[in-house]
Amino acid sequence: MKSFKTTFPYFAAYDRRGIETYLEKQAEKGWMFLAFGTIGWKFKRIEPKKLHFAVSYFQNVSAFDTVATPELQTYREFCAHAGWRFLDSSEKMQIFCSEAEDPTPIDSDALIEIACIHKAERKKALSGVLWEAIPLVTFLLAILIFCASKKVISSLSSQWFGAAFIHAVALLLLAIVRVMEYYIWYWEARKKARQDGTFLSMKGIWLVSRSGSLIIFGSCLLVLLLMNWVTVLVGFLSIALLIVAAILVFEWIKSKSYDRKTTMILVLVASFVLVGIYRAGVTLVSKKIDLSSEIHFTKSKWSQYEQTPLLSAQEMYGTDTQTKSYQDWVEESIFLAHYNVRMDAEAEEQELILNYSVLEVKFGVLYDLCLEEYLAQQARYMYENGETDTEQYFTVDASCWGADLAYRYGCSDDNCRNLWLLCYDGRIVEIQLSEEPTSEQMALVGEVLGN
Amino acid sequence: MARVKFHTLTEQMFYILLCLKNECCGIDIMDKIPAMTAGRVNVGSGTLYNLLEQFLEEGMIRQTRAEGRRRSYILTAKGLEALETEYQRLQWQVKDFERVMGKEEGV
Repeated sequence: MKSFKTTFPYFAAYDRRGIETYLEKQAEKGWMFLAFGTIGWKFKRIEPKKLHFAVSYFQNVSAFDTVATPELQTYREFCAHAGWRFLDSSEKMQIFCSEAEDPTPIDSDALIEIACIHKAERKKALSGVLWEAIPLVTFLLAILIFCASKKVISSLSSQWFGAAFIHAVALLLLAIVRVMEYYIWYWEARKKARQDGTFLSMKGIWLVSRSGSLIIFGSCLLVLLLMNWVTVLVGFLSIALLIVAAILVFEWIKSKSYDRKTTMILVLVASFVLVGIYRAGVTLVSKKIDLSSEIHFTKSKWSQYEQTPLLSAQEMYGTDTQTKSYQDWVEESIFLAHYNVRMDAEAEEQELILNYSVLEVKFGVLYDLCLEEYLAQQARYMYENGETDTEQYFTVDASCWGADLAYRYGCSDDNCRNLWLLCYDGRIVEIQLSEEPTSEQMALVGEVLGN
Repeated sequence: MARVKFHTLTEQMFYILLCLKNECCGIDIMDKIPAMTAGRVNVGSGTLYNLLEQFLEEGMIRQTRAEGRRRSYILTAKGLEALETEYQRLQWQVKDFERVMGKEEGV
């Protein structure tokens, strides 16, 4: 029979009733709480017995303290005098145990206890959430949105962008839930303590907020999995590695028993280094892992490929057409799907090209943004005689293409390229041909690429 | 309206201050109060520690000496005034109770 075990319970730091009940039940089953491990809670085998546990919060403790301060030692002596044996602490939270049948609680005044918890939470968790996590995540979202506004299509169709956006939104929502959960408990607990002097357990509030957090987490996970499981796996593995590395580094620094200030500085430096390594690692991995579809490309003139693009050169130019080279790639996220094809073909010794991209816009609000990015493409030319020309998209008749709107790229009706931009319901198609298309070809494009 | 701190004293606050009429070590207050009240009132060690810190901050008690980590305190004039105010408040409560309850019995 094993003598030690590690458990991984999950409690809010201020859920003292929940923690006490958990430890008491473990003791009744024959497991005595030993200490908080680097990961998990450590227990050792004992004879099952009824013990009382107390969770108390001491203010003047920092996460960067490597030894107990004189004030904390005095506090523990007070508790020891009352029969409470100190077991372990996790920053401001102190865990005690008593074998007495009916020990006087360490905190016998609910209002004072709640005030202590509030000071502890405000300094540690809430300040971390309100002044670090929420601004950081909001800043990250702002950067993502700014990047997306500059390069709408490439950003929003990128899996990494989509994943980063979902992560950021999920973190923001979870942080907000965390803050709301605490303050709802705090206001209710203070009211109850003033009314009848008792301490409010947070069980009900905890259940609601944890359910909310699970729903947010589960929804985001589902969306990410639907996008690409590789993205999710790499994302989770990299974050798990970062967390483990951070914990190990932090524990190592604490084991050196430096003073609070030195510990704080070392942890700060280590944090920057770790985040830098993490970012570099993610960038490296994202370059190595190709999240787009397979690329079929060759420079050989005579190769034939059994590809099945949306619209083939044979369909467009005739069955005698032979594909010389073919390349396709897809970028897809929850926002956009961008399907690209590049084809070189030959028919009756005539060189032909068929290049097209189909942009599927999954959210209507993004349609105009994407269209604007296409339409913003311009090229300016200056001639020897000083005249200038500007190439850009200008409106043409859309009916032949079966489209809602159509644009052609060039300087004017007389001076234009065989490059069109076609707007369909939820789709934008950009197509480049070798020559002026026939009405049948235009209808074919609308039928195949526009639906 | 928010309650002014220590405007009224809880039972535990009252007895802690009462113990400090004479110089007393903080930790010994935990034994003195149940002895004084025949076990009726007990102060938690954590609550005692926190209240002593708060009373110090408010100037209701002052530290007299420190022997290692054992610190002794005594009531200040402000603390004595708070104690006497609370005593008066309790006296009025008792009188009001006797008047009302006595009057109803007499009806």
